[in-house]
Amino acid sequence: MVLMERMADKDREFIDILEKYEKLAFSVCYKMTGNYFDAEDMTQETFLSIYKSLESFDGNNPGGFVTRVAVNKCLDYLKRADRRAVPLEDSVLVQNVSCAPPPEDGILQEETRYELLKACNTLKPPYNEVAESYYCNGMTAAQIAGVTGKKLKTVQTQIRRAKELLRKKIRKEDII
Amino acid sequence: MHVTEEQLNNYITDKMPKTEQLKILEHISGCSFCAGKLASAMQKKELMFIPPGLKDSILEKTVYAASPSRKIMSAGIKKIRKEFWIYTAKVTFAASIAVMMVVIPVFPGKEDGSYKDRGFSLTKEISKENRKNSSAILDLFRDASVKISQNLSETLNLDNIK
Repeated sequence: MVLMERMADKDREFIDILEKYEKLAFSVCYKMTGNYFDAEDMTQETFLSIYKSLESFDGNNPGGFVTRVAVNKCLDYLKRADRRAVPLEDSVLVQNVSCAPPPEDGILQEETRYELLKACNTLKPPYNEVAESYYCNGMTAAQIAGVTGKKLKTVQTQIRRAKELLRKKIRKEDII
Repeated sequence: MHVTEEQLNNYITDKMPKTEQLKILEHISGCSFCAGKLASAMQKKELMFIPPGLKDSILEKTVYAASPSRKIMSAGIKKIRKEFWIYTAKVTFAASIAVMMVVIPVFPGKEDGSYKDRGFSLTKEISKENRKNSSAILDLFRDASVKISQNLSETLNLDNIK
């Protein structure tokens, strides 16, 4: 409470926008990149950019502001991917745009969870268990440490490693 | 020209050719009005769940990273830690010197240079001056341990606040 009072107006406004629109930003990024971890990176970049440019935001239409920044970030990312890729019949930029399935109510969440779970199960121990608890069961690092009896730092390291492995696997197989 | 409702709906439900998707996204990237329409259309559908840790990661790189109190706190802890290690090094050095002062005078053993009863001479042949030194060293150790424990408790308290 005291910390909140001390917090600058800019920080309070940013936290408010983050809490209200994080799901929207992630959904826009996922729709555009079609990849869970790329969408995570783009969402992070979106909010870092919003934080830096918050002074120039007039406060009107915050949802539109977040969406516009997210779309810009994803287009930049897709263009970068396009430049790195070997030219094929269709450019990667066109191929990648909206390769995510349409977000039918409830189905996308379940499908993504299921695909994540499948990807987690392909990892070797102990990363498979840690990744499943973290990504699919929504447990925090501290909770996993409490349940497994491992040190918190060990769990945090395993989560980081599992994330790297999942990212590589998903990018390679393009499963989600 | 702004994006129509039909185009937005086709984009969201994936009923639009990819080249056209790219066109409307390029437009949205520069148009707050259409970005707002896309935001509203997306929010009518179920939004994705957020990856765990994403929000904390964003806050770490923005609000928390820029917080002046956090910076001051972090700098203060670093300074205390540095002082603590310098102090520990000084005490260790002083203790080593003290041990040498106690041991070296009795090291030669007996006057004839024989080292036969050296172990015995360490306690028996210790001079009055060395005894005085020893009690001074013990006092030094006592003071040092008190100061180290004070420093440690201060450091730990600050860590808890952090």
